[in-house]
Amino acid sequence: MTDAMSPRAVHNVLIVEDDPAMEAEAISAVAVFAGASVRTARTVGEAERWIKRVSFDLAIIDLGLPDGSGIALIRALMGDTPDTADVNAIPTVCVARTVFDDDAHLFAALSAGAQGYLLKGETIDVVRMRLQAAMAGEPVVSPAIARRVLAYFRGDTQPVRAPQLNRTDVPPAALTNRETEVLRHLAQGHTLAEVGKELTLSVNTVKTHVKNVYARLDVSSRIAAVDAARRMGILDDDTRR
Amino acid sequence: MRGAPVLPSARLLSAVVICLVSAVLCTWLVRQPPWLGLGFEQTAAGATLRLASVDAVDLAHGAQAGDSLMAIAADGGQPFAVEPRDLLEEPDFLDTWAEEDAFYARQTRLTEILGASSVLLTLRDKSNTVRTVTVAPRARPLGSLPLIFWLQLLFGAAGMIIGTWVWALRPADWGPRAYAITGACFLIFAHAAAIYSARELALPGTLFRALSAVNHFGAIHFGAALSALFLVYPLRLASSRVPLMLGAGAFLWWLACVTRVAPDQDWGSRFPVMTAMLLAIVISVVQWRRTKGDPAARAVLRWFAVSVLTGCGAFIGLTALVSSIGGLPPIPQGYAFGFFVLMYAGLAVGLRQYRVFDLDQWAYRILFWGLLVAAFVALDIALIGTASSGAARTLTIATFLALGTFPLRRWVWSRLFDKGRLPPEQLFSKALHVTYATSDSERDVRWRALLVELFDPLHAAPDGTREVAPPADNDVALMAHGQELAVPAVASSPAMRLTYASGGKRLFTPGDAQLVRTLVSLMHTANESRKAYDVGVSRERTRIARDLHDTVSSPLLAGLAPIGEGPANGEQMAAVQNEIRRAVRGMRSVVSGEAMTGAPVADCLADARYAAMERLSAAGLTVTWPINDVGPFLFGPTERHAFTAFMQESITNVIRHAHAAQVDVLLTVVDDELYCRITDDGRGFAPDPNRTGDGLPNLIARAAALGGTATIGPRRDGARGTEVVLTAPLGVQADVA
Repeated sequence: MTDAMSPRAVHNVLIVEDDPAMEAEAISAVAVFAGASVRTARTVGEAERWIKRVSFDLAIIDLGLPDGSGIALIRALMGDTPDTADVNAIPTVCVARTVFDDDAHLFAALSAGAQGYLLKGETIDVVRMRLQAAMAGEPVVSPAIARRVLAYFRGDTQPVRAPQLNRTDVPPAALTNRETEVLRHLAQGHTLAEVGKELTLSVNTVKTHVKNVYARLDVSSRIAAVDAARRMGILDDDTRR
Repeated sequence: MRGAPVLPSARLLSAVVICLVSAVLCTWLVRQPPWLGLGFEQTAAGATLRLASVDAVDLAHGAQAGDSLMAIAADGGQPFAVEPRDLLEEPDFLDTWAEEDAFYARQTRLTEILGASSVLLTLRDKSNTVRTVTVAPRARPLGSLPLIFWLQLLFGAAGMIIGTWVWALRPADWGPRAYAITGACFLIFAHAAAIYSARELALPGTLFRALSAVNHFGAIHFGAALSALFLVYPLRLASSRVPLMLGAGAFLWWLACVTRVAPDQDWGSRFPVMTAMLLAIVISVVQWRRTKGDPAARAVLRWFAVSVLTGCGAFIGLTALVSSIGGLPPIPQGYAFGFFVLMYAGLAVGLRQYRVFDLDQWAYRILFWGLLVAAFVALDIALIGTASSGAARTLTIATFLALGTFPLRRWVWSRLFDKGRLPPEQLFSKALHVTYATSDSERDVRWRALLVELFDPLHAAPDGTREVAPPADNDVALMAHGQELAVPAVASSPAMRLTYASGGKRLFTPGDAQLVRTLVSLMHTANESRKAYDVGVSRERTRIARDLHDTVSSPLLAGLAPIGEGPANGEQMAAVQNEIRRAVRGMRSVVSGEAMTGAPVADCLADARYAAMERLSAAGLTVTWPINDVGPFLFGPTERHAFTAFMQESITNVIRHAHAAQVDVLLTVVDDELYCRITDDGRGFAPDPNRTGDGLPNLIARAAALGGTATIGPRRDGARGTEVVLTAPLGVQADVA
């Protein structure tokens, strides 16, 4: 899992987490980036204030915050809102953090532009590896996610898998043959590197394919996408038992 | 075979029409004899007829108030001496048939004289000077009719309308029937008396006698109906034959009076009325004794007896009794009729408090409606009257009035009587609203409210006092020719019976029945899905509980289990953490429902590979793990969980205990059997019965859950390290579409 691209330097890290123990764990995981300065926030509001003042290289964002969804924060960090948009700024690498890897949360985070995700309860080794992979520009892609993405682009309306995303009324743009091939291999359990080897592609090309696909997960209009995410949040609240 | 169904409103309207027709007829009859324009007062001595008032026209002829009328004569005829008795309000006050005949003969004679083109009045003024005045009799103007005439018309109408009102709402019960008959009889005797009591001086004798007979008919049958009423209400003391016999007896007695078979007035008209009254009192005493221990019936009876006996008793005491001992009533009989109205009004008021005749306050709605209709009709008649009797100017005013009130009455009409029906597209959401009420009682309340909203019935049973038998076949049914709609039990609501649609102004139609049928079926469907949902929720809860037990509580309990004496060392802590991690993973699978659903074996292998690769890489191990095509096999929920757990625990063992650098995993399917081999190059397997952290028994149990076997031991190729082998049969294949 070596990468030709040199990992991006990490100067400023934002940790948005309302649980103190989880916050401590994240801080210790971030120690892998030597010299990075860490800011923490417990709420969306606090995080928004940090975002206005500091340009972050990495943000670890809990999706379930007391005053709102972390998805909106990811969107803000990706330069989605006018007041944070800066043409020259390199977008922050966002990593979503969640207890449950349910589809609505994870899909919404990925389509919002999250580079990766952390499941609470993973070993610190796995967390560090994920963070490093994210900083190296490696998209997160488990077989389960690959399967869901494939189903999404097939237009499956499976109620459990990804019903919310199909409600945007805009049919997803079709996958190219190459993209489909990449996703199928990933769905079988291959790593990105293995997919490159199988398809005789460079790892970077495979990553680019995956990112392109993620970018197209959402509808083309950004505003509609925000609405869709908001709707997901609502639906999520309604269906949670 | 019953006749066509009749609505309460139609019955009430009929009563109103009868009252109006009767009033018009009375007014016509009383205006038949030519009119002199005189008003009389009875002198203290009763010797002469003193003029109390004189019409302006006659004043011009020389008649004066205060003069006494001595005699009248047709133009050129003999003077006919008049007597105070000629003004007698009620011939019943006479005692013998002979007196009555003489009275009628004089009335006839007076009428004949009044028929002349001019009449000579012999008057004596206060100074005893006698003079004659010539008057031309003319048609009697409406305005000259005395108050007592209109009051009697009004009293009679009130009794009739209130009686009909009660009966219209409970037409099949004997109590209301008898009550309605008293009302009709009251109308008959009051209106008949109104005519002759309002005459100026005379009516034709035959007409007078006929009116008197009509008056007797009403009075006697009124008494009989009153007795019958106490016979059947509040308790039914006798079969329905007894009231009918009472009616027959009253009729015979009346015949005896009319044909003068009865010896005199006492026997002809006073005794029967008093007998009936006494009978009513006796029967009400029996009712009183029989209602002992039934406070509700007693309350009704008390109110009832007070209303009826005081109303009728006061009248009879004042008139019949006084005249039977030879006196004249202290107040005119026409005013005394007001006592009967007290009785009817008293019962109408009593309805609200005592549910007399089992009617509730909803009954007032139909009465209100009937009175409003009557008011509109009366307004129209008044307008027509104004127009026909007045000049062109009044016609214009009347037209403007009629046109002016048109929008008003349309507004009143639409507000009160034409409530819009519920649009059908709202039905489904209404049904859902009922079905998804949070409790049975709330559901019942909403269902009832929906039916009331749809049909606006006068009454909806059960109302807390009575149960309603469910309709036949538990289907919606039109009852009593559309007067009632039987609604079957729905969900938690009992069967219901709606009475009189749209406040009693229309019948239930087959369309209504169909609407309710649709609603009931919607409710059933919605209810089934609600139940299914409830069952689903309950099953889901059971599922979550079971899955939590399997996947979350067992690792948590393992983590809690005592490690041994002394503080825990690093390895023990790691073991505990591992158990907790297992619990978190289990929780995740419970929430996502993966613990319950099956999945393709290929997907499970892919997930296991990805998770293992990530963990092994993070731990710094090298992995070889070729991906093989495993075919379209499916794992059931149990197998899926067992396999995932088996893989996770095996990888955990490698990371934690093997001290290996390299792991080789082979996962394939051979002859419908899953074959899994995990080989490491670690320090080798050393079974230690005192160590439970390995989870070796766990691995065996997982394999058993898969229906297969697991072996854990040294590598078979003889190299250093451990080898875990799992074989499990794969039964179920996915449908290859």
